Amino acid sequence: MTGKPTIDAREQNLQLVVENVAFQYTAGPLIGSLTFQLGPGLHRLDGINGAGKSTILRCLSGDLQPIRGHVTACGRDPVNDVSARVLIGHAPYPDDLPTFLNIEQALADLAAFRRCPEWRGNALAERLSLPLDLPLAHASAGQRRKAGLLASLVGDPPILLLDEPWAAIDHAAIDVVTSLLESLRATRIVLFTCHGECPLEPDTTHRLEASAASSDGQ
Amino acid sequence: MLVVTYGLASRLIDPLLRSLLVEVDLRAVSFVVLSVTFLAFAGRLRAILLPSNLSSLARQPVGNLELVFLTYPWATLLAWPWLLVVGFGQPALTVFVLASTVATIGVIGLCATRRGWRRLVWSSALGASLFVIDRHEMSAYPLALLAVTIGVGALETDLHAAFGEAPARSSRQRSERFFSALWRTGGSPLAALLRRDLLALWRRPGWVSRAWLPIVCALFLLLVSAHGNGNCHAACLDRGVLFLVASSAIVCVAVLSSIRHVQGPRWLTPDRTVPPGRRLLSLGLIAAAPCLPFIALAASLSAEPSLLPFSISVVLISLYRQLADPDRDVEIGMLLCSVVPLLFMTLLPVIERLLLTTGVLLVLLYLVNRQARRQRHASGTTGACASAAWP
Repeated sequence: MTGKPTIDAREQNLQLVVENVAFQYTAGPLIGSLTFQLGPGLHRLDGINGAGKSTILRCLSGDLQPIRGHVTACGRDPVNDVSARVLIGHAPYPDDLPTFLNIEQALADLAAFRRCPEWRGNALAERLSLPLDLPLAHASAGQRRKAGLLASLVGDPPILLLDEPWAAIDHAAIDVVTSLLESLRATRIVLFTCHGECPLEPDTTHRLEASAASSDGQ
Repeated sequence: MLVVTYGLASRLIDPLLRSLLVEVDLRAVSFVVLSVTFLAFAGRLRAILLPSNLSSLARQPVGNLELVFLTYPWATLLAWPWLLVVGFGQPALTVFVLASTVATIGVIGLCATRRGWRRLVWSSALGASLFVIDRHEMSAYPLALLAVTIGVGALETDLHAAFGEAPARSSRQRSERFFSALWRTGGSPLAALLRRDLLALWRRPGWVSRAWLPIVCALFLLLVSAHGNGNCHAACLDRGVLFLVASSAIVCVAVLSSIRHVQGPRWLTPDRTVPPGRRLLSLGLIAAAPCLPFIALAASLSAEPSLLPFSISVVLISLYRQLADPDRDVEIGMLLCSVVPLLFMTLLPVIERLLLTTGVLLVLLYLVNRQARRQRHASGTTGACASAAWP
């Protein structure tokens, strides 16, 4: 990757503070509420299928408005402050990349939106065996997952929210993603969800129940 | 004897005859003729003129008379220029009312005729009446607009087929180089939004087929201004250019519709880091872009002071229209009806006109923003539902 220099954790006040965050769809059960405070490292959000992990990640990224609670990313509010959302890279699953573009175009657009137009993900794409000129409409599930992970890294954000980062990708790519996340452990806040056996050891795990959540920092 | 008889008879018969003689009101006659024509074509008009949200009525077992009451209001929307002509009144009332009645009947005939020589006959009648009318002030523009709205509308199917839903493979390959270069330029967030919309318009070029209306209006306006037609001078041209700008609303909506279709439900929120205001600005710019040649032409032909706010209002109305119901196809009649009331502002003095257009602009900005917020909320929640466990 090229582009912005590595973020200094001290300079950026590298913290993700989640206070009593909850969300509820119309006629759906309450998701959350969730309270935790994360520093640099790898953090796992755990829970059964349907507990609302993906929804909570969307709330933390600013994509959804929680019905209550506050999110603070590096001292700023990504829910209400659009410009603060560039501090957070979010890889939802399934991804929401535009199917009428190819991967390179989608990444270039995201780089422009996040005011880092010189950002390029060619090196990582090569490691993931991902052809950048591939139209997203023709991409397989695994290729879309890789593209989604690349998209979350656009602009080298200090906070990464990764929903099932190892889902649907091949063994070689699993190793690449695992080593990438290991390399980010010291300098980024990475909050991820994972079903089954996790390829790396998280620093903390936060459990989300169907209608209540508990946090147990390990 | 004969003289006496004639004298008596004339004294008796003349008053009787005079009392029977009715002064013919041409407007009333034309109204009756129009009503009969609507009645005669009611069945076919229903399918053409009913807005999509009332289309279920077409399947209801109602008789022709009831149907007239259902279709007549919508049909008169398409005949609004005729009402304008009658409403404003003209120096040569007889000529205008007759010709505009013929024109409106021609429009109805065109609506009710599918294809072939009958359509040609109706078009000829329409053209003949326009030829008579366009020698005079004002009525030429609404009637020309009416003619192209309905008459030339039949061409739209062919135009749409010609442009298709997507460009051919060869032209797509040619364009790849252009778009690749465009994406390599990097650029600002606004530039990224615009190039993304540009690609969407290239992928779904059906909006081009909607440009016939302002193109024909522009040609007509050029023709009238070049030949100094009749008594059509400054005020007449001012109204003409406003009609031209109003007619380009159909292109604005078609452009937004193409973008919506290609980009899907996230067309308003391409990324969570894009501020809503910036996205609305980019949509407004891309919707206004195809109208710029028409606005420039209008500005060159007329010194109408409210042209700029009116043009912005037209774009905002189109944006609001598309945001309010993004899945519905463009309806020319309804769209024009939302734009045309603004034209009545030209009857006001300049200062009041500018104040009013500014007020309308502010209200439209508020409405567009509110509608966009609703759409974003709806699409965001839908997207979340798709990926989350809860229905």
